[in-house]
This record gives sequence, C-alpha cells and structure tokens, in this order.
Amino acid sequence: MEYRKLTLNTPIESVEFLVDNMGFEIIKDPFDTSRDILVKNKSGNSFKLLLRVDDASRSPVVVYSRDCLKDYFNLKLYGINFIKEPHYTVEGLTAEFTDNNGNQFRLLEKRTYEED
Amino acid sequence: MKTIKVLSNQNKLYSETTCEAYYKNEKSDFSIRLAFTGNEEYFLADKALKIYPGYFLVLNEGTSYQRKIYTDTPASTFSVQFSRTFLGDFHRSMVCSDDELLDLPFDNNDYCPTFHETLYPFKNDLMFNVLHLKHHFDAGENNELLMNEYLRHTLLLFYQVYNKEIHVNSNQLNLVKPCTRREIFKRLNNVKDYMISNYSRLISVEELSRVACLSECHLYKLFKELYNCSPHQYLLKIRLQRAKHLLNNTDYSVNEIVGMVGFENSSSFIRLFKRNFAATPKEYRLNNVA
Repeated sequence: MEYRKLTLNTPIESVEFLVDNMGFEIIKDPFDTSRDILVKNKSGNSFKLLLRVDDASRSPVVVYSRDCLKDYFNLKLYGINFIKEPHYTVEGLTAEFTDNNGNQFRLLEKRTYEED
Repeated sequence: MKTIKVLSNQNKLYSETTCEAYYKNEKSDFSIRLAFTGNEEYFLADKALKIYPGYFLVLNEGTSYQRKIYTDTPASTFSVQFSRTFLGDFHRSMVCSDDELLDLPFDNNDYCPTFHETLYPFKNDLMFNVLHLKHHFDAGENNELLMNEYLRHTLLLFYQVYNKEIHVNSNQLNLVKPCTRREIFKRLNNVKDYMISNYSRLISVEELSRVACLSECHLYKLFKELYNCSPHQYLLKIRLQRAKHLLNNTDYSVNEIVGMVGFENSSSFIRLFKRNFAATPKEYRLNNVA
C-alpha cells in the first residue's frame, strides 16, 4: 500500500472535507503519533493519505472518479475552487482543484481508449 | 418502451427499446442517434442508413427522415437532440475569438451549423460521456445544470470527431480543386455508410461502384487514398469489429456470429480474427468474460 502526504493548516476542516466530499474514511493511525491522521478512499484508490500538520511538501493527489463530470459538478456546488476545468488527457477525463490549505487534488476518471 | 426528457432549454433526450417501430415524415433539431443493442434504419432523401452499436448518426435540424426498427431481439436506441439556440451558442463559443464573444455576447444571428449526415464511430471519450448521460437519464436525474454539462461535453467531443472524420480525412484526398474534393469525399462517404449499413450480406464491387457513381478502378484508387485500405479491407474491418461486439455482448456461438457478420466460412473468419486481435474468437471471449 502506497502512502501520500498532505499538509494541513486546518486539520479538522480538512478531514471533514475529505470524508464528507471526497469519499475518504478515517482509518487507524499506524504511526501512533498525535499529529498524523491516516485516511483511505472508498472508491478504488490504491493508496492512503497521511495527513501531517507540519509537513512542507505539497504534491497533487490523484483521486479516482467513476464519473468525473458529476463529481466536478457536485464539488463546484460545494464551492470548491477548480484550477483546471474538466479536460481530456491520454489517461482519461480529469479536473484539478485546491482545498483550503492549498493542497492540489486531481480528479481522474481513467479511460481505456481504442486505437484509431 | 419509450422515455423522453425535455429540458427547459428545449434540449431533448429520447430512449426507446422495442422490436418493431415505424415513424414516417419525422423532423427534428440537430441530433445524435445511436443504438446500444440491435439496430435501427433511417431513410433520408438520398440514402438509407442502418445504425448498429459502435456507430452513431448525425441529423441536421429540419432533415426529413423515416425511421424503422424491425429486429428479433429488442433494439435499444438513444438520441440526443440539441435546440437551435443551444447548438448555435455552443458553435459560436467554438469559432469566435474571446474578443468577439466579449464585445457581442448575444449576437448569434440565429445561425445554426450543419454537418455531414453520415455514420461516425462511437467510441472513446464521446462514448464514455454519452454512456454517463444515458445512465443519468435512466436514473431520472432532474438536475438540468448537470445534464446540460454533459450535453456541452457531448457537443465538444462530437466537434473533435467531426474534425477528424471529415476535415482531416477529406484532406487525405490528393485533389486540387476544393469542390471536386468535396464531391468525391461525399461519394466515398456514401460507400463507407453503405458498407456499415449492409456489412452482414454479400456486397459486390459493382454495387459499391453504383453507390459511389464512380467506375470500379476509380473507386478503388480514391477509396484507398482516403481510408488507406481497399473497400474490401474496410468491409472486413467492419465485420471483425461487429464480431468483437457480438462476442463481448451476446451469447451467440462463434458459428452463429460467422454468419451474422457476413463471413462465408468459419475458418477464414477465425484466421482473420486471430491476425487482427492476436486471439481466436473463443480466446477473445474467454479473456473478456474473465
């Protein structure tokens, strides 16, 4: 299982956001430290997020979506700021947004394309 | 069973599942039409077309047509109709500069673009988006903003398909005069549509020559220039693609599929299938079911 790190300025709000809007669930903290929180996505991501309050690294996190346009639409209704609108790439349909802490997320609906 | 949804901006979605239906003297807004199972026939003023899974038909606003479904197993058909205002506004956003759109935001002059009324490949992003749209339609989604978001993306992807299938492809023809190129492209396109619509039966070169209004040699040369293969090779590709679809989505035996897609004997079908997809039909079905 792969772990990715996210920085948090407001840990309570960030965890609420991930759980309420991004389909994550809080799981047991294996590192047993008071400042780390571990969450995993319920819809197919093969990694867990390690939420660390004082970590400096801020790399975009890919969150897999079954229906990118619908998730994009729902997140927009929630007031999420998208830095890239849904667009088509060789991997599939994707859109990028940031949370209140400046962390970047990339929604990705993976698609398998037929050759021409 | 027939389901219709009309959005407040007059975009419409139609879904129908039936073995028999006949509609004559029909007209609609610009529409994209497809069949998920079975097939449906369209009779336009100058040609008859049959839509099978894997292809979609585009009809312009105001085109008169007859539509017929007559199949043993129920045909599941779906169409998306775009209102003149929605299509005109989208088209303007694609072709006008940002300055023009800012200076004259509502100046669409009631213009409605028209497109080649032909069969296009239904695959990749356009297919994924229309499948999502159909899913939300079937689930009774009432959020019009969401549905219109899908419709905008459907148009966007159709424009990409159109550019590739019409503009890029027609430039393959090595003809100097634009009007000659347009005419030849139209005729070769009719041949392509004819093969897609009649792939399951024996088609002779003479027949294709008549459809194109071109001599057999001329047709062969131009067709190869446009599609990088002979008409016969193109027909084989259509048949193999249909066989793949039937292997994936039905329980028909390989022998039954051989007859359904227009092959005369199973050994040549299996040999060609293996050459194209690196697996025999049975292996392909097993791998995909697994």
